[in-house]
Amino acid sequence: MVYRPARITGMGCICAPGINLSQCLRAIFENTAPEPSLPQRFAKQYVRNYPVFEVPSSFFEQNSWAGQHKFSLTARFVLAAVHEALDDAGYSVKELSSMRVGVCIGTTTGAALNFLSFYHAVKKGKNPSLTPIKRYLKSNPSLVIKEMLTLHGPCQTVVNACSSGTDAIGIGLSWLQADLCDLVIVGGADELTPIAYNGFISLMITDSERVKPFDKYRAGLNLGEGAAIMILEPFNGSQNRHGKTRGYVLGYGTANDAYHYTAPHPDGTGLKKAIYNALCSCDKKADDIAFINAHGTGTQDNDRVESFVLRDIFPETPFLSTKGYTGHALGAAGAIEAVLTVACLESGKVPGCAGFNNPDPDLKISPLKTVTGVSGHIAMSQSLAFGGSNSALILGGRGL
Amino acid sequence: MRMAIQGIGVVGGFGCGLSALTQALAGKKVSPVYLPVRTHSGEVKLPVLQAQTDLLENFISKRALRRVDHFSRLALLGAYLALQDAEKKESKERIGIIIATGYGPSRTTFGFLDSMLDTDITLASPTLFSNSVHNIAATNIAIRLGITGPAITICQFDTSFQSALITARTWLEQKIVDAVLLGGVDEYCEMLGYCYHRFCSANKQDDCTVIDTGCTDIPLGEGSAFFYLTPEWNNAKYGYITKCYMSTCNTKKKTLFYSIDKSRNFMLNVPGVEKSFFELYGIMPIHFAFDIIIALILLNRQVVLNEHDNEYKKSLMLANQGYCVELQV
Repeated sequence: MVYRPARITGMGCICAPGINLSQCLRAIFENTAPEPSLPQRFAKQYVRNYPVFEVPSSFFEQNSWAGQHKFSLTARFVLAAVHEALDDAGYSVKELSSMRVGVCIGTTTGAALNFLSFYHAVKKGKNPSLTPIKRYLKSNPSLVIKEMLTLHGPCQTVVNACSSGTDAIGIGLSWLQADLCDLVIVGGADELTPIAYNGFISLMITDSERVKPFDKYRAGLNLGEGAAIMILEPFNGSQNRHGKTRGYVLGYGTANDAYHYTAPHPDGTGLKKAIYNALCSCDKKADDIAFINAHGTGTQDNDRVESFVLRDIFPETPFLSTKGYTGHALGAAGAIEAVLTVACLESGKVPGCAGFNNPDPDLKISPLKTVTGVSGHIAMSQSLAFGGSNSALILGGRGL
Repeated sequence: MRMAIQGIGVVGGFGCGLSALTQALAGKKVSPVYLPVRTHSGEVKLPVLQAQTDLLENFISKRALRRVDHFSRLALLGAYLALQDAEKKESKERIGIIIATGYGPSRTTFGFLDSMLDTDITLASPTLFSNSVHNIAATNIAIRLGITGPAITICQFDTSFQSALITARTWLEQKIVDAVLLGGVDEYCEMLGYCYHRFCSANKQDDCTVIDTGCTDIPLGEGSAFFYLTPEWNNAKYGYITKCYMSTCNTKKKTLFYSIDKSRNFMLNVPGVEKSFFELYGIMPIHFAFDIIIALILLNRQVVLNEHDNEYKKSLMLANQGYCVELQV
């Protein structure tokens, strides 16, 4: 089946380079994005010698959602990004009430039982306040959007590990195709937690320096955090009230490796199938893709498999990983990368792959090193995840 | 498009398989165990309908199961039973997996926290961490059964399963897959019991929403409920899910059962039966999956649910938390 394209009528993004999309793009293209640093918000006993990409402190000073402590930080990130995207699309909350609005958000830590301090207190025989539990129950990312905007359409929180954000956008596309909604709010959100931080360190896949995607000396990932949102509307919908288009979600494909809990299939079988499905779902060919925003975590396994697949299917197509700017924002990663991809199509240029310096002869392929012009209007963003999930989005620029 | 229900796999405190649930529904006693929960004022015991997964060894060797967590075992057993029941013919590349869960693998999650808190933090367990991701059950099903179609997991408390139904239908309708293995899974752990106890005993006026059915004497539960679904053009073994949609009706946490003809006047307050079968499977977020199976049993066995409407029905509508699902046999 070939999807009808979905119009992207608004976007919002919060991650380490900035607290809105324009700030993120400026920092990335002007090379002023911050380097990763040790976590600032964790209790010191949980901080080890591995840097992360935290959302800038200006978020807590400038964004009105930041002070809503009844919600988790993931929920505050996602609500802030949703409002940025709705503003961008020109929709008021009141206007949405007369529409069929769906919500599909990817997350990992945003739906996890992250009650570290509470749990510690219970283990010590104390009687801690139930506030963290109440906060958790109010903060499921898609439910909190539905609740705060009083929406009545389908609502889904996707917890597919690191492909969650990509999958949420793809599911939103399928809902529009099925005419379940007039508009769908899609994306991903995740906050850094001491649990995920120490969990990834325990797996020995974190770099003690800045992440080096596809580099000969890559040594693992840096975690990141944030949220990114797209407002999707039907291509020829009757409800396109504001007539604005920033780009298109054209296709989506996903497939499972059925191979290993944490490692991708060495032959990239699931990833190849996901890419093939994504291209077929919008009737495009590999040659149509102008550039690829790869998953590019900087781990040995991921970058090896991804390089192998890209070399095989897209031997001449420029690619990069934006994780050298954002870190790996887990359930938000795919959404952040999709939004950045569309923004690159819009601006006609892609940034260099931050952190990459030394080509790896074993990979036989290298990402872009510097800002490069885009020739074409279609790009791909892909995600690989724990559990063997592989997902790819085909995205179009507004010049399509 | 209608979804044809070709196979069912169900595991809970009532036992394992459709026959065990049917017997429980017919009155066979389902007894909870009383599990200790440590609190600041001493130990309390909570009734829990625990699900056993021993029968999983009929499908997977004990050795292969040794590192598989309880949450995944519940899911694997439900999935194997549903596939066995369906006698599936679809290619494993063309089967999708959708898992709905209220809280994910809670025992493993808190097990990982124990590994962080009880020892030097540098010794936190990588195995527990990698098994604590919410999609671990879908992963285990994909790996053990060799299913390479799409696999997603949905987590949004007690609307997870209802929401999952919408994506299952979309996948089938859009021919993304030929069949969907759709399951709801929840496991009990002491921390969930602790939270339930705190919410319910400390302050009755407080938000009693941890397990979302209010505070009652009904045991907490755990288990899995799986469906093997194909598009409508296949003959259905158990019946069809004819519709699943969002409604603005103010449906409650207990499932409402409406006879389908009267459901046309649903919004005009034609009464349905507000029914809880929690005493059979226990309180858990994905209870709606169990209620659908129970409704199918009732429809297929011609049991009249609504005493005000004692006519055999071939269809029912179930409403819960703003979602409506119509079933037909």
